[in-house]
Amino acid sequence: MLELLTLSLQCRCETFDGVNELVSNKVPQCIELSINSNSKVHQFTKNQEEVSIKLTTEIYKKENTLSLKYKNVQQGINYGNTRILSLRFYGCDIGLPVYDGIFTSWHDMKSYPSCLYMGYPGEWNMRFISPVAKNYGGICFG
Amino acid sequence: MAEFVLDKKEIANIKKEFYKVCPLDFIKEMILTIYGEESQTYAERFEISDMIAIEYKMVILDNEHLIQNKNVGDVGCASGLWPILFALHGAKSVIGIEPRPLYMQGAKKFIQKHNLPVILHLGDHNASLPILQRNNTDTLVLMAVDDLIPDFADFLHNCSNTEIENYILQCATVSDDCMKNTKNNAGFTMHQEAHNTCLRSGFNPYTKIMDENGFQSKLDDSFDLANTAYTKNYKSENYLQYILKQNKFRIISNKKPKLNLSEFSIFRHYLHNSLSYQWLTVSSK
Repeated sequence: MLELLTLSLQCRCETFDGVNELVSNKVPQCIELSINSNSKVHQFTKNQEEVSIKLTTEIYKKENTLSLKYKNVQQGINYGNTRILSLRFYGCDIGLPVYDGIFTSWHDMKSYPSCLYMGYPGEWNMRFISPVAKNYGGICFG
Repeated sequence: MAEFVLDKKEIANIKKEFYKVCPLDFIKEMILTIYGEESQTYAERFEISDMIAIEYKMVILDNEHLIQNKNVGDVGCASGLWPILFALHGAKSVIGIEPRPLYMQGAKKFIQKHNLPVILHLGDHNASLPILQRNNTDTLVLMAVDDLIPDFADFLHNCSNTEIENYILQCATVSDDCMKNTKNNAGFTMHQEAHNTCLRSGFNPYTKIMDENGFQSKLDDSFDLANTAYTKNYKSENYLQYILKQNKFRIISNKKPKLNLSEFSIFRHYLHNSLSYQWLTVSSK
């Protein structure tokens, strides 16, 4: 095993479009954070709700992909947007490398690099290299 | 400059020395206090890396006489590991200065609990000198900040006008080999433009996007990658020595162990092959 990694992703539910005010009262979404075979699901219940989803997982490979995706999506329902706020490894905010993630919208099946705002149901993936304390400056003592 | 190699046996011995002064349980408690509950799995399996062991030898073991019973300053002290180690090695007092507030609260809590003679301040290199002078600093430690401080030569010049006598420097330098056929050159600076997907938890003193503390901490849609581009300045070995001599510093020791930095950080893969760390002990007297 390369490491026993604890990571947490902080994100927010936005069911009201504050800019256009065109689509309001979207349905709070259900999201799933996963890495390898480990995952955790969170069901948002209200606008502006913030959550920190924590996962502890054994990492065996050098290259890994963290995934955040919408779950239980049904046709014809407007789901809330998900704004990714930060990613922490072992409690340490990794800072800007979180922009290495790519959002794929299921609405138009396009990929949006460096996008932390999931305006439609879809999947956000971020590749990272283990062990993280060695490969990302600023994570614990390195 | 001739490089030397620290073999695995030597590194293992350095690690033993490290754990004698800073036992594993102590450092695990430090991790949990500084980084919080989510660092539990990291703390459980923690062992010091080869890089920390090498830094420990170059900065502390080789300079114990400049640390014991001295007032020590550390500019860019990150989460406080090195100031704590200086205190464990008998420093009379340690001032740590760090521009990122991220882990300062936890580090201060740990220092207070163990009654260590360490004070941490929030501030950048410009703010550091008056604080260090007020504390009658004898020894100033500058670890891996030479490429981040944009005006490092000016900063050394300002240091030379203080009463601080001893300096322990860890600098990222480039070999002068590519200039061997040229004459009368003091050396060179290699500029590397990067964007701040870094490294040091989002800190970038050059960016236009800053919060009230001078940090790029707001990760929102206003983030503009192009505006966060900044330049790291790696000096050549000769040029660093030239700057030191111009500022009337006397070089007491100058070491460059052979390191394969690509093993230490993925961010160094794309850098010049001859870029490596160099440790110098210098005196202003």
